[in-house]
Amino acid sequence: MTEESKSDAGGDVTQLLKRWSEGNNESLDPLFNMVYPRLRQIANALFRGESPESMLQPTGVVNELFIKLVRQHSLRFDNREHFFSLAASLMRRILIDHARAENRDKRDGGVKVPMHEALVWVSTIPSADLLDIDRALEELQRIDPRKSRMVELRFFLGSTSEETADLLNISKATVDREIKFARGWLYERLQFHAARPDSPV
Amino acid sequence: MQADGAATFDAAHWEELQSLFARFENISPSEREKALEAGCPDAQLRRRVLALLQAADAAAQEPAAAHIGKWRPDAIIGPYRLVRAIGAGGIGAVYLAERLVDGVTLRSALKILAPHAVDASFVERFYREQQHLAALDHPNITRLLDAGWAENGQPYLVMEYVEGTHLDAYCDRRHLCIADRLRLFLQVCDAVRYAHRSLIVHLDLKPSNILVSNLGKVKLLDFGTSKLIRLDGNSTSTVMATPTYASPEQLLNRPVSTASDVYGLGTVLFELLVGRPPFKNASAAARTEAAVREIEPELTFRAVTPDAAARRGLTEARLRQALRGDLAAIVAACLHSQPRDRYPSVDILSEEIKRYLSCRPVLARGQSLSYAAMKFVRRQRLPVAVSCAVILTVAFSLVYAWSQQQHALHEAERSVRMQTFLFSLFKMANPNYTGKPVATVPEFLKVGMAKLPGFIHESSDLRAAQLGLAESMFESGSYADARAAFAKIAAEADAAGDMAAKAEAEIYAGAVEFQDGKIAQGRILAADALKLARGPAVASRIRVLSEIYYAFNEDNNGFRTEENLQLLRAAVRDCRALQLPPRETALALSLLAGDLVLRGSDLEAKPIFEQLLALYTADPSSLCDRSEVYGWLAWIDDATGSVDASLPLFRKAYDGYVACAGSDSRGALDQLPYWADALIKTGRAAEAVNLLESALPTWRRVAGRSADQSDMLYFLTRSYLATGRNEDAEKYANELLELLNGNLSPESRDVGAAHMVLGEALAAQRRYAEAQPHAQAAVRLLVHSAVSPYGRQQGAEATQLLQRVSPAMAPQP
Repeated sequence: MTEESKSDAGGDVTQLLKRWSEGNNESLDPLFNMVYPRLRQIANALFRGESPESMLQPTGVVNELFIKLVRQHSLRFDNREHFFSLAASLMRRILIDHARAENRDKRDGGVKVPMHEALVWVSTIPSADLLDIDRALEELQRIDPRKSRMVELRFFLGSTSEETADLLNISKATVDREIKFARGWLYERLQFHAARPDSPV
Repeated sequence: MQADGAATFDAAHWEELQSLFARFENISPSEREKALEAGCPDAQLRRRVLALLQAADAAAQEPAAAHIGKWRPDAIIGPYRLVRAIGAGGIGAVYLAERLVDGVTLRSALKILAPHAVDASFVERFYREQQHLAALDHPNITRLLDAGWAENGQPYLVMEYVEGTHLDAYCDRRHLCIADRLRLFLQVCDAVRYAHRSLIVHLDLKPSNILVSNLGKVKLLDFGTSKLIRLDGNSTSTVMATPTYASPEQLLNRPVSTASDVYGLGTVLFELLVGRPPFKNASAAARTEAAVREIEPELTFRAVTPDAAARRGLTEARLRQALRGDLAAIVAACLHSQPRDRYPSVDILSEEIKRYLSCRPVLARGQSLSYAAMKFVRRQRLPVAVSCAVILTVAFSLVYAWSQQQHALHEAERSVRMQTFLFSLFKMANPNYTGKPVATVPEFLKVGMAKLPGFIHESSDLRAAQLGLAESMFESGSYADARAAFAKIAAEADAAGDMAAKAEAEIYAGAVEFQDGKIAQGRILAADALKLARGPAVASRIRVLSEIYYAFNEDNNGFRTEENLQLLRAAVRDCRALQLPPRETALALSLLAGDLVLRGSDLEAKPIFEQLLALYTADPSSLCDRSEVYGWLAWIDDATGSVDASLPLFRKAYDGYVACAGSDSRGALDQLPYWADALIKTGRAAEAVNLLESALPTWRRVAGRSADQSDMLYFLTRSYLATGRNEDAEKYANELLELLNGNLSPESRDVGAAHMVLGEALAAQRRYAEAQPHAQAAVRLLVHSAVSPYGRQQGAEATQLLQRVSPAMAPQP
């Protein structure tokens, strides 16, 4: 068979995913390392030649993420929420990682990050970059983990509000309401960070 | 307020903030402050809520398609001046553009592509491809005119500008009915078919890529774009497609083909019929999940809404009704997860839509193509020989499996073990040993399969021997045992990386499914076997086997293509050129001949059957096979008008089967109805009655209530009709109809034929009023679906019957 090797890693992934869903964030690292090398290659291919004007639809990244995770053999869709949330977190990590690398290259700051369509709103903020979003999201995560997860799903994975509602087993109206609040809150935090780019967070 | 201060404050007042936010978010910004003062006494909380509300407003102001209008009207790109933005797609924004040529202003559509969609050689490729793309000269396709780089380095494409409305909006605004929508859709199919013939795929078919002019002319946009998008492996097709409409293979970065466009057409058709795309969850992630899990979309009629019905001029219930059955089947046949399960070409999809529009049965519903086709399926079943012939076959296949092994290590040891195995097998089949009078062949094979590992230890040898036994199970009609055995062998071969054995197991596993009527399963296995067998290190014997089974079964189950026939012809040539064993050569010849019969090319099939006969005559153990060929030749003579010549052939076929497999064998029983038919045609109906009446008890015992051997009752009824025994005819026609109704689709031709003979029996007794509904049913089921001459003749008979029994025409009693 030409399928990805059906290694024993499958069991690990399931365990890691379980631990991660129980709130153990450290288990994200091995998961990330497992799927990352190939993703990085794809992400780079997509990011290459990017001009500030353009938008990126990292569909390829999302696809690869799914295929990779699902091919880990014993990983099933028993818990779709965990799976999608993990995918969203990984998407966030990929974009942040990319932004960090870019930022190291160009010390002038103000990195323009290619955004998924759903992340369009962020680009209205002058000089906002993904690292700021990441920082603001971490703040949000400390206060209200569920909202930060929703934001990841909606804006990093590109899930629609219906899909998000479906995954979290709540109504679409609730998702829309919470997202609107979270978006306002993040936007406010971003404006704050943008005004004080060097402020310690 | 400092960052940490604000965050800490927010954390402490999180619930209050949210509830105030929700309470005041819909109040206009100018009145908020006042309203808040009344509703919230805490000044600090008020300030935070206000700040958050303002931020939320600002965030929401970002237009959804921010990249539209990045270029202002009057901007100059290359030689073009932009007029206005007219749309946005997955890979860029589209503008109406003008260009001055020889004093004349020409309008065109200019699409600015996202830079990641193309690579540096994009323009060069455009010019290289231009000749090819110029071939896309079709009234329903907009032409690509130019390509270039804007001054800021963004690539653009220029195409013909079309004034029109998106397909879905066009249909909805005019409240077009289903039939009108399908006729527009046929224009779309036409364009795609045309492009496929030039080997150009679209890969982004969706309603917004299809415009309809005010005159109702369809224009497809973006054809040829796929050729210019970069093809560097990773992100090829996925980048450009819109997730909502993309095929699973595009979502999974797998190879794309014309089948991806069949899928795209399916999504367009689904939306035209139902009013929304096939998958409700349409984000890239959700669609990828569906693709990975091979989730098939909802059926059309389950997705109907009252609003969609109103736009089609129907009530919800009527629309649901209209989308059941044929249309649901057509859409589903486009939207299978696996490309190989879809319609093999857009031509066939078009044909299906036309068939639907002219009220003819569609293939997607799995009906057999014609009377001849159904007959073929029946006769294709190999005879169940409950005699020692099968035991010889077992021994033969085991030895044969042996000889296949190329590496001849321990050959002597092997043959000793082999003999021991056969010896113990016969011992176990011995009545003294089993305590039963006679061991049946299926029992014998099962015991053999269970004992085999005790005698053969080398795993690839074991697989080869198991394949031999499992094939015997298949040939002796033990389908359940064969299915389990082939599945096990395929799984073990897969684990061991033995692709040849896996392919061979899947070929037969597929054949079992086809025999069992599980067409979809059979097709999957046959296609997979074909793929594997064409891989490296697979013997040509297995490749040829996989090709003939694949091609024949596709054709036999309504997925008929010219390519399949070519494949069968090539397989026969390969058998000769590669000097494959007689067994494979004979199989290839018989499937090719069978395929030709399916296509109504009886006369072309005849010499092939004769070659086959010559091949079998050289082999003394092939009496049953020879009998089958006699049966075919008889059938062809009968069908092509040489009825007299067919009679001795039928006798040979029947006698041969009786000798090799017994008078209660399937093969023998299968000959009788057709033999009887030929006797009726030559005016010897009384002999036909004798023939069938004497076999009836055996038939009842063996075939029981199986619908696929119902020909016995059909022709018995006909022979009674021909001899004027109308009450007997009525009795057996009723039994036939009852048998079929319990087992076959009420729309099948066999049911139509049963109605016809019942109608004839009643009419012959002058019970015209009772005969009339049966005559009507016969006309409905037999006239339009006829493909073969035999089928058309049945249709004509049904029509005559209806005329005879209709009140205005019928003679008064």
